[in-house]
Amino acid sequence: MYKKFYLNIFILALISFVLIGSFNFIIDPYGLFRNFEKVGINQQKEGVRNKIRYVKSIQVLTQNPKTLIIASSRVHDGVNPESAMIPKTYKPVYNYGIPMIRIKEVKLFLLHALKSHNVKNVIIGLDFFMFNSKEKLNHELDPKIFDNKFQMLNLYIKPLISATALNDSIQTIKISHAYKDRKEFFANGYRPGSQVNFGLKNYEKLHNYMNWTFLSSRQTETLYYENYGLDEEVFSDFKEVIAICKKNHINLILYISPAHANLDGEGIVVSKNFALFEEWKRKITKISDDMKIPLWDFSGYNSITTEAVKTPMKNYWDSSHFTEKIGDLILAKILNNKDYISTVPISFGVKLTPETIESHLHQIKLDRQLYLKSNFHEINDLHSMYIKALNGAKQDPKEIEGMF
Amino acid sequence: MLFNSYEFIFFFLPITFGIYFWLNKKRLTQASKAWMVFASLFFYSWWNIIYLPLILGSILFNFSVGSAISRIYSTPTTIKKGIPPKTILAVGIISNILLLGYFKYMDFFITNANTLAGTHWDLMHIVLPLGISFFTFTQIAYLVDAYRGEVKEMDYLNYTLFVTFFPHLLAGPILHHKEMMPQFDALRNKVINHKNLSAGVFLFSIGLFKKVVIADTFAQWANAGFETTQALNFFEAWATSLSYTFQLYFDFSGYTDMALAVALMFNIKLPINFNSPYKALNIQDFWRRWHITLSRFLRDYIYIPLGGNRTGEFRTYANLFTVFLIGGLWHGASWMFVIWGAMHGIAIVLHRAWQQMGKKMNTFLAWFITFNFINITWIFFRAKDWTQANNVISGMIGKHEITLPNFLAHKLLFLSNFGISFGGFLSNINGDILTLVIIILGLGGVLVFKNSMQLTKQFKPTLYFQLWTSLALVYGILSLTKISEFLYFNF
Repeated sequence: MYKKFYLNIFILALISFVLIGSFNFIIDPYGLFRNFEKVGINQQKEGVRNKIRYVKSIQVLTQNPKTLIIASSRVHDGVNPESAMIPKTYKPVYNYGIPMIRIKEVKLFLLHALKSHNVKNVIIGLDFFMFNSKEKLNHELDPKIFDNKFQMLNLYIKPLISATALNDSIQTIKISHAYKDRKEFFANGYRPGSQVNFGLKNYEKLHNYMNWTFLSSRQTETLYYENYGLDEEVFSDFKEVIAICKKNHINLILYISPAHANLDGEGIVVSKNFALFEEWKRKITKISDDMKIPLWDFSGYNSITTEAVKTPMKNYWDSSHFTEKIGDLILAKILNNKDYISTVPISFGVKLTPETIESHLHQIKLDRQLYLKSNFHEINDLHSMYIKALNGAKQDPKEIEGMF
Repeated sequence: MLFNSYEFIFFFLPITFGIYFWLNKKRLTQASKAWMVFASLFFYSWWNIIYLPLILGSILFNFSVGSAISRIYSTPTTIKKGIPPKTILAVGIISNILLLGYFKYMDFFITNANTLAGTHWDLMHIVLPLGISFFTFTQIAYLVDAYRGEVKEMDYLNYTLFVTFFPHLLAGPILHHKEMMPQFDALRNKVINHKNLSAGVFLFSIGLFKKVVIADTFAQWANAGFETTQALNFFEAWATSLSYTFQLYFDFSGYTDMALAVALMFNIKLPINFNSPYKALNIQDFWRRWHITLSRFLRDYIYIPLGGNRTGEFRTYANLFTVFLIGGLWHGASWMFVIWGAMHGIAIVLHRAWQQMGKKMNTFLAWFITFNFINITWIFFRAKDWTQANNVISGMIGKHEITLPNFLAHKLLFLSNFGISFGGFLSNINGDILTLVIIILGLGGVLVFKNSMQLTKQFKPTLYFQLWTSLALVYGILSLTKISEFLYFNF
């Protein structure tokens, strides 16, 4: 009788695991297996939403890409790996954009991706916040995702035999059924901004929300401009990233991403980091030049980044994230695509070298003066909102209500 | 290795179990013991093998010292010739304490010395060897038992098995030599006992569920709360402290359940360590229900040697206080643990004084005071410094902000005149109304339900037990791993 007791339990448990595992395999909430996809059932992979680091660490190896675009969510939401701007010789391309990535993480994710020997080109989108030395590593990063020792766990147990996966499968079915035209997370790592901001009604509110979170660390726990610093270690990580690419004979292209001028311009000014921002550009220019790697700057107060904030916008979803159209412009410029380069404004994307950097920085200052002059009231309002955020005020939920 | 891991549940446990009983079946009892020692050392070294020599050295040293003491008792004529047993014992105990001191308290000592004397010694950043607090205490107890003449046998393999036996190796219970060795030698324990195995599977499933489902659920709120202590409003502060109180209990008692369960599968009965501690009606009662084997150790090997209650009223109070101070520091090298220990020491002293006056208290009031005292002192136990603890407590007494849930706003809006606001009332700890419900269920659970020990006593192989066990086991295993989540940018 006692023997039957535990044997029955073992059998029951085994059956449960087989059933749950099969269910998760079919629904595939993380988009890792992609054997079955049906609109209304599992086209919207809800499981990926908060687990992008985990999912991408697996996807990047299974997709076996020739080119990687590593960057923050700005690339994740705005650069299409299937873009016509990318020459055929670069494909397949994997969008390795990861929200709020840090330079140290760039290094770890790069090293991880190079376990696949197919990678020939790497494009890295650099952000000022990525180099914040006050937080060198995102606390959400689980180093186990890079460890071969945990391969079994990461590849099979987590996505198949876990309560998290079961819950995510159910969510996937629910959302896929409710929003049949929603498909956010692609196998090539792309998450189109239109899908991220599904049903966005008020661009201005989303802008304000994003500005607020970048200024007030209390809202986010992750440090942005309120609590910013640079030290030697972040630059040595940057050097290491370049060195890794060189060692592996990888064609590397770097660029500074274009957030809206209200954020990676005014936000940095108000948080008193503008001089540091310039210093950062000087330093990475020097390092890239020393190591003979091209570096482009798309940030500043150019015709793209100063688009008026209204509903709808052409270039931006919010102050931080640009649209696919801008992603294409960046690609056309840095990959020097002959057919499309004429569509890119001349001021958008400047190649940085120790010879050009000072005049470029000076030009940005001049552009800023012009921008302030022509948007006087708007910038004034923005500044007072920033100061509120910096003073630790809580954002009123009503301010962002009705965004979507 | 942890009990709540795939490698333990699916590989280590079945293999160790199978080979142990197979060797016993072949009447290779010494080999089966050796196998168990080998398996236990493998279990210990799974993550990091570098401390294996340390534990082996510690075992060899303590066995030699213990044997030296015991030998003196078995051959009384040598007493006068050799070194007095008391000296040997003292050397043994001091060596153990020095070892623990070096690995656990060195940096703490250096930091304090630097602060006090203005020196600039570098910290040594010594990694704490797994289970060192437990195996050191277990072996000190063994030495004292040897000195008291309670150790009957001297066999190196048996002794090593007693110290390393994997169910208790990393987190207790803290064992006595005399309660373990007869069990390993009893012949009827050497064959598979289906009743014990069933009860073991049952208890293991409960323990696993308590640890990976219940404790980890509370942990998310407790961790979030302790990360943002300065921002906690009234409800958040209470939710944080209560979540931690429940997390700690379900985590530790769940882990102990698993230890007892696994030992039971091998027909070894380990002493119980928890007995519904949050039902306690006074602080002394609490310490008879919480981490019982530690309390027993502190009583037998510190309190009583200090003189216990036999040296006058004042000394008794001083002894009690000292025991709790040491008990506090044993939990970790930080002043916060000392403060926590001191608080419990004061409470025990006050309780004794109250008892001496012969006064009685209403049962509910007694429980209420005890529970809240424990809940508040756990804050000091968990907080990394005084400021953090102070922040949580300020929140709990309404010094920060009082925020009520949004849905109450239209009914209770007049309260906003009294400085009460409406909004995400648990947003800083990533909680919502469900958090509140689960905390209330947690409280109900620890107060109303029978604990796992009582349930195991009632255990019968019925369909009812079968279903619940399966459910707990399956859900527990499904919850063993979580994909680390990125909580921000949720749209």
